[in-house]
Amino acid sequence: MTELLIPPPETAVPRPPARYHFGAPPWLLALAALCAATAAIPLVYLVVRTTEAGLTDVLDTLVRPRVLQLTVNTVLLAAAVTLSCLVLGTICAWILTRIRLPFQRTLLLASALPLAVPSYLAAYGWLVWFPHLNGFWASWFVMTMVCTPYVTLPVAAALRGASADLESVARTLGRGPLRAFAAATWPQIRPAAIAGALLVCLYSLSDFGLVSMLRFQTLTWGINAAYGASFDRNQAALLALVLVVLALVVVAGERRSRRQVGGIPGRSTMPARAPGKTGPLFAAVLLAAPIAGVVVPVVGLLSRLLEAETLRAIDVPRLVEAIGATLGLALAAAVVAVFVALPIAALAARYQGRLVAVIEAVGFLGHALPGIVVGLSLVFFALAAVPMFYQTSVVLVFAYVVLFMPRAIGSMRSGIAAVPASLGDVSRMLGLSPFQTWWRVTARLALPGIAIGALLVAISAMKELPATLLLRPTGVSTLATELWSRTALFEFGAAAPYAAALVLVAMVPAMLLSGIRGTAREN
Amino acid sequence: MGWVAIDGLRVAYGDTRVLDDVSLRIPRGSLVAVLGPSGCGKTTLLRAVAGLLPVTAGTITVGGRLVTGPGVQRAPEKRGMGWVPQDASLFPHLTVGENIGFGLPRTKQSDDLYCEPGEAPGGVAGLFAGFTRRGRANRARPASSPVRPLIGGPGSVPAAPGRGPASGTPGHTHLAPAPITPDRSRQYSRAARIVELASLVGLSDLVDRAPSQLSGGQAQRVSLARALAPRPDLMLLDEPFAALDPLLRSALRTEVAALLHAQHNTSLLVTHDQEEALSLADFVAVMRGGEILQFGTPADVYERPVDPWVAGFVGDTVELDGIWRGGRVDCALGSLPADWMGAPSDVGAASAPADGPSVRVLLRPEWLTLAEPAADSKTDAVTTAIAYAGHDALVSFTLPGGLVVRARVAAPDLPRVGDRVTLGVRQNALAYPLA
Amino acid sequence: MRIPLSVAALVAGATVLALAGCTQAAESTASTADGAFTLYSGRDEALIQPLIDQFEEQSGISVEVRYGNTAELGALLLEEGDATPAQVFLAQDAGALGALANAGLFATLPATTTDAVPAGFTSTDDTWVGVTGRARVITYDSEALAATDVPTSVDAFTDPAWSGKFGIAPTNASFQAFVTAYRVLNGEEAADEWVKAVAANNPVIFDNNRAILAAVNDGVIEAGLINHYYWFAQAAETGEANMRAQLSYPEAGDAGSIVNVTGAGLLAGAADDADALEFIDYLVGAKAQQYFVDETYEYPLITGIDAPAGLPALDSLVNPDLDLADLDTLEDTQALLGKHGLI
Repeated sequence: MTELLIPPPETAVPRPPARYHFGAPPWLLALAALCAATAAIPLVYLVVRTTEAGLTDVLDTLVRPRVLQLTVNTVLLAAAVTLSCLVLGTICAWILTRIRLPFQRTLLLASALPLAVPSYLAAYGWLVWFPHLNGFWASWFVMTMVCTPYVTLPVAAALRGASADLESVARTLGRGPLRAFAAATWPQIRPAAIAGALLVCLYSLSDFGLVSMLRFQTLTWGINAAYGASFDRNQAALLALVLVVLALVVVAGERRSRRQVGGIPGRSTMPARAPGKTGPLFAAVLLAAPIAGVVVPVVGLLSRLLEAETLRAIDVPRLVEAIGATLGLALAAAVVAVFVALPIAALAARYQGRLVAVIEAVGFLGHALPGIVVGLSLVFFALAAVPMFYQTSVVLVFAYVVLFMPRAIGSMRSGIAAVPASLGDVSRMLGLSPFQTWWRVTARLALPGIAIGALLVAISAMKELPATLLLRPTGVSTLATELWSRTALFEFGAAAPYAAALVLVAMVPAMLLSGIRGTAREN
Repeated sequence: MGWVAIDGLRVAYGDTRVLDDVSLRIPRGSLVAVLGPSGCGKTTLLRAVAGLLPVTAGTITVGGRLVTGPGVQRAPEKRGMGWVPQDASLFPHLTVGENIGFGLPRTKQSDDLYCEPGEAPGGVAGLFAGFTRRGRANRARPASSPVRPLIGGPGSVPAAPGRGPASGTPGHTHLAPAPITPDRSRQYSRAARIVELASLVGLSDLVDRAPSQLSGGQAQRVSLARALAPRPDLMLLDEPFAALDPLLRSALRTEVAALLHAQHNTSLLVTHDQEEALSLADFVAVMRGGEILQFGTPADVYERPVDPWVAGFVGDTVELDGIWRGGRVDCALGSLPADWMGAPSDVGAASAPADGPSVRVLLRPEWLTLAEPAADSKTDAVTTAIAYAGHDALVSFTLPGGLVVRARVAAPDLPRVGDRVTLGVRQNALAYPLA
Repeated sequence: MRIPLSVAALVAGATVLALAGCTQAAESTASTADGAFTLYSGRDEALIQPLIDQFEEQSGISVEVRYGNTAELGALLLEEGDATPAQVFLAQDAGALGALANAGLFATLPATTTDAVPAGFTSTDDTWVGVTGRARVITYDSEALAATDVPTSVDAFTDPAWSGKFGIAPTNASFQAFVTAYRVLNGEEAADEWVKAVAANNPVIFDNNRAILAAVNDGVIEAGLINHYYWFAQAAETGEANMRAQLSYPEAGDAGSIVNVTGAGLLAGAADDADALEFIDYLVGAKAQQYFVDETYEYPLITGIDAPAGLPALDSLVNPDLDLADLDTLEDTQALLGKHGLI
């Protein structure tokens, strides 16, 4: 579970040494461009829709104190959460790799666990215990606990791979432990830390369920309110655009600040030292996120679930229906996402060049698009362009594909890149056409990577809330929306079965995932 | 007239020319080695011939069939060429047998036969029992599949299922260069061809193994068998031995060369290893900077290199400054008989000028001879260092002018450090005009 | 590397499910007649679904329901226009119904349907019919305030003394209808003043009335503007004696005391849909009206059904100066709330 829920940071994707030197075949370029273009539909339509409103209207809305207040709230929360996750996550990673604590593996697993809990579920769990929780500090706290693993895991991995020799050298040259770490080790783990921080930042920018439950008004909350409370949709569209701009600024900033550090050869492991008297302190820091992000909510959930009244009131057919809808939608999203991501992943894995980079970047756009923005723009788009698909699973699945395609591209790209290009050459030389070669050799060998991509999409789609709320077909409820509609009414007991089912259902692909990773590693 | 003809081939990546006007003829049934340092474009040449990358200009014909030319760019799978890459590149998801059969057409019949080489000679079927684990074999058995005798197969190497990847290394088995008469009839099943090739490369007891269980040498043999299976018109070998350790390398390459010759294969081998090129090939093309500098037999290239760079690339040299004196050169070793190497197109002394020009004098270390020092010789040398290599040694001598030359001396004739000797030559030195 | 079979099975299964999902969804939007129709409900699922279950059982007609916020669904209907899959819109607020009627989205209902509800609680042009009545009230924390300290007018909440202590749900249709009433009763200028002052007085913003009630009951805030029946539903659940939050009815004539109605409209495209009409008739029938009295503690609108016990008489709350038909300028209200940053 440690690595399965985190999309590998882009920095960590190894580029294969042997790539084709020549340009990609035009048909592959065209196909990949087409697939990437689908990912851009929501954003393009959102811009078109907003410009239709007219410049004066747009400016009028933009300068409203409300918009400013929401934007400031959003930025403050995202910045605070990112900073605290960065600090806590780096400390946790350092403890995990440099201190010899008992139950090392269990601790690592535990520190990954909060990732399995959707933010709104964590918020729900805290509200069960403390119904009064609300506002900035509550949102900051719960979000930090949920997001810390995004930093802990990649930084721990980087620390394990980082050369400790440099730090030793720095020590012998007279630096204290902290300064030696800062001078020698930090530059090596910096890309991982920044990549993790980017995920945290995007997550807190685009989160809707948690801030909504804890009543902290950010842009996502504002978008949902404007969408739900007014006949005039332009305000919602405009707020969505502001959110997208924020997200893109963050992504661009991350790309600028990311400097690749060449691998430094050397002994990769710093001898872990015994904790001594500070052991309990280290353990406490390490376990803060898992306890606050998992144990508290889950125990709250269970306490509500096991109340006699709740058990009696479980509407089994309805629960089963929601599970079925959740699974069906998630699997459909996974399959479609794989097919859409495949040309992009194949292109990015085998070819380079400016056009390839652009196509890949557009494919990754969903990474920066909050679910609520994709949901909103697809409502507009579907009504205007494909009304026959409006309020059908088609549009909802499409939204999932746009949102989670980057995860599929990431793992499929590394899967395909891991298949030596020379195997394709050999196959061609033995008389197989490019498609036969793809089917019998490349796809066959990249299957674990492709399957991981599909499962990552499935897990994410199961937990998705805001786009599902806007786009779900009439009469279809997923576990997330059922949970949401109950917690919105403060019916914590009634929400408990759905929350429990969501946790259980999301564990299925997670277990499949660790199975595939395990098998892949054995080979 | 070559079986394979490459004319005016040009390949460019953007503005950089990788191949510049390359022309090459490969006679039918011969092995041509393209020799050059890394980055000289030799792999690009091979990939261009294979159709794995587009060319800018030029034509390639194989057996009179145009595969690359203006407006013609036949797909790699339609060129009928075999490809042996540097790292063997076996399909990791297929067994050795399935790898060998990868390029063989899957007719309905052959697909069923594919699993079972036949039950004819008692023990053989048992050896291949693992082959049938997909359970397809029991559905259809060839009524009369002609099973070729297994050469160098289970007969000569005892099957040892429990042995690890080390079994069947070249030390234990040998390739049997027995000629094989092509049997192209439909009756000739895919399975039989796999068995035939497996035994040809001496791996018949390993057909059921996964590639990960093979040693490097074994993997390269499978790669070779796989490329040979569809009976290609031209074999392309991309530094096939480079990844092997030196001992294995020399053993395997001899076997492979013998096998390719025995099969009457036309082959193009790319290598940066001059020893490999000289020992294996019928003809060697020396490449540098995207151009072919010299094409000839190994002896030609070694004995009469077109310029000092080629000379240095294909072997050790002794280089001296000299002055051309009509058939002889004056240099630090005295006056030596020499050949004028001025015009690459017409190597020989015929077009040599009379007297005077300064030249670069080139010798091979083994061309030098040692003699007892004459009383007042001005060209006496002092032995300063000996690099001993068992059968012979490279001995460094310091000439009176302070110049150091190295001679290859057979072990029994070795001088001792400090000995004074007179150096002579066995054969004509090569005199290259200074550019 | 032996996973391909399971993965292949997974992929195949997913494709089948996806296709099934698509066709199912397509069917539900396609079949508009014959024993089925689609309802957009701006009222809570918990309140409405049991009634719909009853209706389905009784009539054999199956109802697809899309639940949402009244304003959200109203906007959706405007956006969808003729393409809407809905046949009936059940709204929480007369203003939203009026606005949609003005946009020409509703078919005219048969007189037999609209006559069931007395004038004043339904549309004047038979484009929609009122279903239940609800009073706007102030709920207050009885541990923090004495009943006599509770404001009798919503104007009190502009007082800095209330800063940060009161809750509103500006995205909620009932709140918006109340603001519309304020505009109608006191004029645009006064309404603008009031909204601006309230927005500046640090109101605690909630998504819905129930959350406000919960916050008051927990002592998080001292007072909030809600509809009366939330309190009665909560009191029925936890026992009246255990309620920390109490209700106060603003003085008659104050915009904070209006009686609003929920109502239903038949969408223009479904003018001839007998199934949809049957449902609307059912809503204003004795059985459904009794259901609302018993389960949601709202005022019934047809004669012969008694209001829930403990409620003041409907007549005592109705403001003679306000015509519900005047609440249809919802967009202006939303613009006003947006202008001052409340939505």
